[in-house]
Amino acid sequence: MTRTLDFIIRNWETILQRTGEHLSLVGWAVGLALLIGVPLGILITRQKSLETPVLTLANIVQTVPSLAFFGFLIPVTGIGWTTAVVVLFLYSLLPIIRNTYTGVKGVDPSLVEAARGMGLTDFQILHMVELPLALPVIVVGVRVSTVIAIGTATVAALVGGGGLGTIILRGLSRANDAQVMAGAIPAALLAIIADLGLTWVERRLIPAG
Amino acid sequence: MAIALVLVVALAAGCTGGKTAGSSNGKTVIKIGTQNFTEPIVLAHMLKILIEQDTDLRAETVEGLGATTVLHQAMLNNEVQISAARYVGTDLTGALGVSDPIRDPAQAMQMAQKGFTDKFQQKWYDGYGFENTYAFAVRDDMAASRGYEKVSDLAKDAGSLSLGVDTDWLERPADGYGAFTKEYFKFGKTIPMDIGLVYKALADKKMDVVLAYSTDGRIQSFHLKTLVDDKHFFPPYQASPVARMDILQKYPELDKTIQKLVGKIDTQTMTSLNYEVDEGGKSADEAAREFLQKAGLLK
Repeated sequence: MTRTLDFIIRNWETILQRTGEHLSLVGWAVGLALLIGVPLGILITRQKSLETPVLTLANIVQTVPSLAFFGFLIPVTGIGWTTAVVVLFLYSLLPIIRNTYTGVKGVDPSLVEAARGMGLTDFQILHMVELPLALPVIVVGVRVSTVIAIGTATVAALVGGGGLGTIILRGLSRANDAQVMAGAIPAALLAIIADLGLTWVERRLIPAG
Repeated sequence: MAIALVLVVALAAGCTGGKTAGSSNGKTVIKIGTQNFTEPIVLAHMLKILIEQDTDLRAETVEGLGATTVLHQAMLNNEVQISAARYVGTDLTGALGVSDPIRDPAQAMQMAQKGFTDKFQQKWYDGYGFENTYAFAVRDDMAASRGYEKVSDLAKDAGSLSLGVDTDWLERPADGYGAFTKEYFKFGKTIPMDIGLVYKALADKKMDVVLAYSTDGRIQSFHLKTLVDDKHFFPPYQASPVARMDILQKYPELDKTIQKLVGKIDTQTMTSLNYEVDEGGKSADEAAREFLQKAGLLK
C-alpha cells in the first residue's frame, strides 16, 4: 500500500492527465448516448413496431466483448480517442434507451389522458408530463451507463485511446503492482463518485407526491 | 431542466480531458508507435529525443498499442509515422503473410525490407543491433535437477508441463504454437496472459515453462534459464525502426536522424535498458536519455 501511495505521489501529474482523458472518454460517450438514446427511447414508445428491433439491437451491441469491438473498428476509425468513444458510446446506449422507454411507458395513462383533455399538444404532453415523470428512471439509466463506461474505458488504452487503462496496462506489463493500483484506484473512485452523485440527482428529481 | 444539468456536467467533464493534439503551434508532429512492452517504448523515447534535438520537427510517442497488428494498422492509416521497433520474424509471418519463414538472418532481413518497401511503402531500416527472440525458460533449479538444456529435453515431460505465453503466440500462424507442436511436441497445458506477468508466475512456481522474450532483464533477475532452440524452429527476430516513406521524403533530416540509432544497440545493452525500466523503476524517458548520453548522441 505504501508503494502504491509512493507511486501516486511521484506520478501525480500523469495520473491527473490520464484521469482527465478517462473523463473525456466517458463524458463524450455518455453525452452522445443521451443525445441519441433518449429520443430513440421516446420514439419506440410511440412506434410499437420499432420497439423490438431497437431494443434487440441495443442488447446485441452490449454483448459484444469490448476488445472485439475495438478490433472490428480499427480498420475503419483507426486508433485513438475516436474509436474508443465510438465503442463506449455504443455500450452506453442500451441502458439509456431502455430506461427512457420504461420511464415514459410507466407514466400513469390517466395523467396523459387528463393532459390531453386539457388541450395539451403531444409535444407539450411529452415535455410537461411524461419526461418529468420519467426522469428519475432515465437518470438510473445514465447512472448504469456511466459506471459501465468508466470500467470499460480502461480497455481504451490498448488502442491508444488514453485514460487510466494506460497506467494499469503498463503496470501489468512491468509486473508492478503499485502502478496497477495507481491506475485502478482512481478508476474505482470515479465509478463510486459517479454512482453516488447520480443517485443523489435521482432522489432530487423524484417529483413531490 | 434537470436533464440539461446532467448533460452539461457530463459534457463539461468530457471537455476538460480533451484528445491528444494532432499538431501544435503549426509544427508538424511525428508520431512514433509502440507495442505494449518496455523495449519498444524505450526505443520510441530515444527516437523522440533525437528527432526533437536534431530537426525542427516535434515528436510524440503513441505507446502501448495492444499488438503488432494494431500498430501495423495505425501505420497504414498514417496515424503513426514511425514504428519504434518491428521484429523481422513477427512481420514476415504477420504483415507479409509468409507461410514458411526463412531461418537465415540476413536473408530474412532482406525479405522484410523488400516486402515493406514494395507492399506498404515503408522503410524497414537495418537493425538496431539486437534480436529479441522467443526463448523457452524454466527455473534454474528445475533445469539443473531435470537436466534441461535444450527445448527437446522437455519432450519427455511435456504432457505434465504447463506453459505460460503471451496472448499472441498461441494463434500465430507460422511461428506460433500450432507450428511448434508439429516440430517439437505438445504441452500439457498452455496459459496465455500478459507477457509481463509470466516471469513472476514462473518464479512463483505457478507454471513450469514460459515463453520469454530474450531481451527481458527479468530472465536473469528471476533466476531463469533459457533453453536452446535445437531444431531451429524460430525465425530470426532482429529489431529495426520502420518509417513511412512519404514522411521520409518530405523530411530527409528525419531519415538521417533515425539512421543514427541503427547498429548502435547490442543485445546486452537492450536487456539492461529493459531491466532498468521494468525492475529498476526508471522511466522510459530517463533510460533513453541516459543511453543517448553514453552513446554520445546527445548534444
